[in-house]
Amino acid sequence: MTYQLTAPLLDACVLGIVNAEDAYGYTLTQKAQQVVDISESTLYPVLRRLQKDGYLTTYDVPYQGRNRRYYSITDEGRKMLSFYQGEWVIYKGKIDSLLGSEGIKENEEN
Amino acid sequence: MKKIDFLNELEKRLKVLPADDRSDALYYFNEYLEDMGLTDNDDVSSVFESPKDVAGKIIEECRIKHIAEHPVNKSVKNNATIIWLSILGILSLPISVPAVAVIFVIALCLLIFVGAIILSLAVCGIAMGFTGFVCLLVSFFTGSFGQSLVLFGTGLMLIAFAILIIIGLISLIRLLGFVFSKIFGKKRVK
Repeated sequence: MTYQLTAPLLDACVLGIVNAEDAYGYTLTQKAQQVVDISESTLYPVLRRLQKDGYLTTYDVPYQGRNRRYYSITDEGRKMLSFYQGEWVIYKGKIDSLLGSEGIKENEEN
Repeated sequence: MKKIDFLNELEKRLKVLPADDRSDALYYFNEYLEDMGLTDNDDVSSVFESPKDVAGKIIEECRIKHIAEHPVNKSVKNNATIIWLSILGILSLPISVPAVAVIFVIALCLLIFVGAIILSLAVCGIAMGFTGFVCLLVSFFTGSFGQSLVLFGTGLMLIAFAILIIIGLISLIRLLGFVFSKIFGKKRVK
């Protein structure tokens, strides 16, 4: 991947994934890895921090004689996610304007 | 590296963290490997970085968290925890071990250097003062008036030098104390 993922963006991605559907560590990493280039151990510190900040909460579900720890988003987490979404739109727009992408040009012509 | 060895070493390296942070991390990595269908004796080298690197990342994250949680509360215990976690975080990176050794040796050299200067100044000052007094005393028991004057003058000069050295020594020690308190003061603010 050409562009690096920064810490806040990674937080935002994790919140987005969990917001769509509760997930456990392995599937979370799988989903993130489909889009961004991260190692298998990258998400744990992020999850732990988001959990401590109160954006995520966990619950255990029995699975084949052991437990799986699912992460789910809290109301605080949803607020944070919508903040991140807003920031992303602004940031994306600014970068687009610098890169001179097609979408921006069309808008200017209209 | 076998899965069980990985988890054991990770646990060892996370000893510095609070118990709930540690057990949460171990739970996560154990579950992760089980979800990959790996058992105790399977090789996990291709899945994760070394336990050292993984532990380093977790400790680093907890350290950031720690500072964020206590931005105002600057009790000594918290500072100690943060400094301690920082040191462990640095040590968990392979490149920085020699760097830390170098810094340690330089610090030790500086300490010895400063100590030697202080010690030699102190010895000099005491010796000069003592000799000065002896000269003053002896000047009263010489045969000629000229000799007395020379010895008396020498004695006064030596005592003056001794006083100068001792004053210099005291201000040097004060300066060092000030520098140390500055360094520690800065660490506390961070």
